[in-house]
Amino acid sequence: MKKKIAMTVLWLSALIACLALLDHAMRRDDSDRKYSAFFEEEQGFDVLFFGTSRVLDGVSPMELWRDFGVTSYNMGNNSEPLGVTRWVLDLAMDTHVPDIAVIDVFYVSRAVDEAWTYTYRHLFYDALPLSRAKIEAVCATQPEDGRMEFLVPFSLYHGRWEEILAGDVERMVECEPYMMGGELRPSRQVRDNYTLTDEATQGELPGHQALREIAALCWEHGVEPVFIALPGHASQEEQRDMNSVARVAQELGVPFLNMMQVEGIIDFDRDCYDWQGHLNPDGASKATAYLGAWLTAHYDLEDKRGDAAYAHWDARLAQYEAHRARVWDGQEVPLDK
Amino acid sequence: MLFNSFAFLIFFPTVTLIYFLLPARIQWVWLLVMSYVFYMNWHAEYALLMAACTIITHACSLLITGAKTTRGRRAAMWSGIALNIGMLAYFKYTGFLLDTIQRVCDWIGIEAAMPKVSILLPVGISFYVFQALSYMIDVYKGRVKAERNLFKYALFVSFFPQLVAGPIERSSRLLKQVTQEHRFDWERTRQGLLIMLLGFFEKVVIADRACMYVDAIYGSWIDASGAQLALATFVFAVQDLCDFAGYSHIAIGTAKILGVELMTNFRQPYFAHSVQNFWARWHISLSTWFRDYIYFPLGAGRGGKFKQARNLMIVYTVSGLWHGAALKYVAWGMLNGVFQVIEGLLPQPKHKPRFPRLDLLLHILWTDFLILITMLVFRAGSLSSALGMLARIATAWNAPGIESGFSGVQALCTGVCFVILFLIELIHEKRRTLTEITDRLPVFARGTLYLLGVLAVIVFGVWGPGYTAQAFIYFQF
Repeated sequence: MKKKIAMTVLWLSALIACLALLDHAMRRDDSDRKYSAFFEEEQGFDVLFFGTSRVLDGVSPMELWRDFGVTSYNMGNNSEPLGVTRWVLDLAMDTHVPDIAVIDVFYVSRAVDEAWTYTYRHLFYDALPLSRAKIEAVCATQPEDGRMEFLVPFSLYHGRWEEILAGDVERMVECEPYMMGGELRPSRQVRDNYTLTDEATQGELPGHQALREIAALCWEHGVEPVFIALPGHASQEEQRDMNSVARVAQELGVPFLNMMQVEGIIDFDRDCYDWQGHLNPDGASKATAYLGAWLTAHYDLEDKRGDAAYAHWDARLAQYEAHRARVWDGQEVPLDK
Repeated sequence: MLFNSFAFLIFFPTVTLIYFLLPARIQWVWLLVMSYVFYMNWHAEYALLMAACTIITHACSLLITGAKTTRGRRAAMWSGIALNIGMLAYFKYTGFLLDTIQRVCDWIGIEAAMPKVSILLPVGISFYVFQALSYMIDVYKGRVKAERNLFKYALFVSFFPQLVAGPIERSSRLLKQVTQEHRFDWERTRQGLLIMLLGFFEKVVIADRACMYVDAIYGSWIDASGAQLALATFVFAVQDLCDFAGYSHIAIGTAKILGVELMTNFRQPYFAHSVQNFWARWHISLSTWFRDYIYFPLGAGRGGKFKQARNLMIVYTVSGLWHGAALKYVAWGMLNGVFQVIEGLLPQPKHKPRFPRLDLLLHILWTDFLILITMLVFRAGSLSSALGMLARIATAWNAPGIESGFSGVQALCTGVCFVILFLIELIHEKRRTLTEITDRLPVFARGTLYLLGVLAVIVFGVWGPGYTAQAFIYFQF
């Protein structure tokens, strides 16, 4: 009997080990590449950036380090509504509690279920270890019949053998660990007839309540929340929606840095990657420089450059700059009108 | 719940663990409760139908036992049959009946507007109704004694491993087994798990992948080439076997672990040397049900060739209707009947064949060819589509085909799996079991083989959110 139990345990252990190996081999690595540096960082972060692809492309943590000595991570994810950002923030603070949480409000008008693209849900959830917080977040953001694949990604990715055998693997995002969650999109595009408006949408938008919950969550953890709207092409309606956040920010007493309304941060004719308002590397550098100056002016953020404990940030910066030079600096990128 | 679902992955080990921890006298109560939980996972309210079927057949069986006269016994039996067949007919055939009447009226020019009804077919109703009826008829015939305890009988009707897709068991085999004490047994569990593994391989690796190709070709059959249709029909024949035999194997393995032996439901049907032999190997629990409760009572082969042919045609027409409420199923059943009638009329060879193996092989190939024709009718969207497909196979063999969406890697994987399946079927045909073969291996090699089998099912199986879990084909029957 004892021998049989031992053999069964041994066999089950071998099965679990094989499944772990297969899980590692079969899963997409996009999420790991985006978030691995976040989970591996031992010194914590001064600032965490949350929100949509406008943050993902528009804020460069490495340039924030280079120019201000501030440690930050870009948690931005494509088409992420604020109702989800609330959960991303919650899960992020399971690992690191920053001094400041900067929240992009571009998707303030979108409800959770209408905006968040399926693949980007995986881009966020796949790297997160299974935890009670993750289960809560998945339950809150996913329909009941679609939760398992986020809690056990192998249930989805076991079917990738076909793609892997055929050598037909494409990356979803261009994030490398040294980008600290951000990405570079080397292109230029301009939207015609683009005009600014300072009008604001009246009434409650789906993201307003999420912003209240985000602020409460931040305060609960001793974190300073900051709402931002990054500059970039946006429709009149999108601008009005973003402008409406000023009301909520005032109600909560949270700073709202509406960079859309600040002239001269970016060159709208050269610094956008596409007409949807994503910033290219030049635009991201300008927006990051402005944000860094604003954050260091308003908060007591220690300049950590030169601190031996943060030497790995300098190593990553070198990698980042080499990458940026390769894909952007000195390149003749045509303007696509 | 489906066998290939996360829910079952939690349900079955939990049920098994508690089952063996419980005192022997209440083990069957636990199984009964869990069988209803299993069934109610689909549509809880339909458990009432199963309960009604159980109560009716149980009451009628007691009435049969208690009746003083043959007339009374007969009345009790026919009441039970009428109520159960009525229930089955209402849920399964109302729409078909109204639609057929409408067609007939349209055809002969009578203006009639039959109501369009949409009644959800309760999962497994055809299976548990037939199982309950067999019990009641067996009580009437005196083959078994009526079970006095309603709840023990309810477990016989609802026993979850074979509840929704068979095998359709007889009370003489199952009733006593499910209600008696069972202790955990290592060897039995190992064998049960191995049978389940084979079932999962057939279902999720072969059937569910093959169905992608079949669906693509049959879905656009008008544009498909004859060669594609022929290949898709062959693939469907394998899919159909793996889908249903796979489910049966999982059911048999599951029951075995719990200490219950279910009957073999498939015995290498594509090695059959005649259509009659095919039906002695395919869905055996249903074939024998029709044999025992319709064919024999009709007189079987007594009374000459004509009566035998008539009886065969009745049985296979009913079998067609059992498989589905559509004309194509009736045609499919009748086709199987016709093939067997013709086989019965053919003269028997007077001498032994000179090359018996070659003769057997030719008979097998010819039988499979006939079965493929019936499979095409079975899988086609309608009877007219089936005829159109047959015409296309005959006339447009080399026509430009359609994109099946089935990649080269998928085709390779499916082909390899077909070869593995063929070898497994060959082993079984030689009256050997996989357990016998693997037991010859050293422990380490055997463990590695099992491990590879499980991993192959997990990796190459079509399961999880990447696929919309195709309900087991036979669930709808």
